[in-house]
Amino acid sequence: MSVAAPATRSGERSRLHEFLVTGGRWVLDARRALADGATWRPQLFPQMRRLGVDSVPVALFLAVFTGIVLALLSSYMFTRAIPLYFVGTLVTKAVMLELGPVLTGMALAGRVGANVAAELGTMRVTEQVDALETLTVSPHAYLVTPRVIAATLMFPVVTAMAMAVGVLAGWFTAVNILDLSSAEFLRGAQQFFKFKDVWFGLVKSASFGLVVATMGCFQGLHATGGAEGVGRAATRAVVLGCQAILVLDAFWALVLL
Amino acid sequence: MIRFEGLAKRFGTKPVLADLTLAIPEGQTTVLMGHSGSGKSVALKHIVGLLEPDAGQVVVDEMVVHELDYEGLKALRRQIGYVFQSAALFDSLTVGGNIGLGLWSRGFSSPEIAQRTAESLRLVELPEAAARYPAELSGGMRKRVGVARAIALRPRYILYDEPTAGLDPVTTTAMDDLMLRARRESGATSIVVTHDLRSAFAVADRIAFLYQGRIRQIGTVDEIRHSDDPVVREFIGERNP
Repeated sequence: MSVAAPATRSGERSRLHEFLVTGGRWVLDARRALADGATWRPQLFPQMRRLGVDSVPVALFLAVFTGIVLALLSSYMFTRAIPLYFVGTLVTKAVMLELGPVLTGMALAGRVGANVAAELGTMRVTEQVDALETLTVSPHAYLVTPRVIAATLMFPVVTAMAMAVGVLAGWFTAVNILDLSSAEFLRGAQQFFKFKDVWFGLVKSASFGLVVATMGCFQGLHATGGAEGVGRAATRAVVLGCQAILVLDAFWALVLL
Repeated sequence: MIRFEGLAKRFGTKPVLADLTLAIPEGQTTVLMGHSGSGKSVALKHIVGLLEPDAGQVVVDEMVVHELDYEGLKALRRQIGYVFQSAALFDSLTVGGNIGLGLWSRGFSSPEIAQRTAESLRLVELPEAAARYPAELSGGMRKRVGVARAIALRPRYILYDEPTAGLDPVTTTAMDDLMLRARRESGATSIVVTHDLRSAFAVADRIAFLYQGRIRQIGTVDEIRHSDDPVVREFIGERNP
């Protein structure tokens, strides 16, 4: 144990050093890449479509069932204790503040994070990233920047759609299953509504998009070891993306609420 | 002029290059030959700064590659065309897009890109391939597009990493002819990494035999063919039964 401990500390120091060096390089590369608009701008709209528009069905599917379950659960909790129109309050608040951004973020972390990590990982292990470098095309400007910007812009758009659909699904459930009128649901929804609820959720989702895409790109560009390495990179991108979403969720709650 | 000066590189605990010293003469084709895993491709990647040495250095036109800053490295890479072992074509781009990307990054106009793309595709005998995607091409065609991508840049140096690996004998001969034609027409200094003896003897002006991370012997095709070195003789013998 006394022999192993210094070795472990030295290994940790070396890993920390490597992490700091890699992180520093990424920051430098990101600055250069952002300035190289001629390279990343043509890639931006295709990436916004791939990472954002193509993710809408998954996000809406999730939102529909979240809205339904929220309405049913709140009615179950409120029966004989709280007026039933508060179903509208709970559905709206929960969807706008938390479930819309976080569940959409998680779903997109799976879809976007894995997609980006697998694509860039495959390019790395088949030497396409090296080829870009030898052609003097910056991989950060050509591959990373358009994906990160696209995800940061499109996560809030997809989340806004998911919020709307989640609340509508809650309303539909309340009216058709819980015998609540539309006016009552609306009264509950409006009672504690603040505009901040909307932008708080959208700011969170933009930050989720930023970290999910960055994580996917980072894991992909550092993939090694063929198909198995690409699989590992995709898995790590999803797991770390989900963890980052939860940490950021707590961070924004502390900072903005 | 490219020089390897005491280049050493290890991956984890495994040394790949140990004190590699070699000068590449201008305007000639030098073949780096050796067993699989002897560090040939690793040496090539140091020339364009894709890897950093653990010790020693690579000097290109009196510039130490690993000491170059971002802009310096970009300027160096503009002098070099690199043909990858797997061709490394971009799946999402057409053949024309693959060839045009490097030209676009060097600031060429669209008509110039179209003209150079057509010329280089003619040189590799794939004049109709510009609109096709890499997935629609055979292995040999992909390698030829890789060569076209490199020579379209009209570089001073062309680096070929295992250009004939995985090709049948007929396609290998066609690739050898292509390398000779590319050198004749561009006058570029070429380095070819290969363990394919027939191909090495066909294209080389000089052959450097790499063994255990060092140059074991260097000479003309005839000198290598008639080498007295037991390691080189064994390599030639085992490849030419």
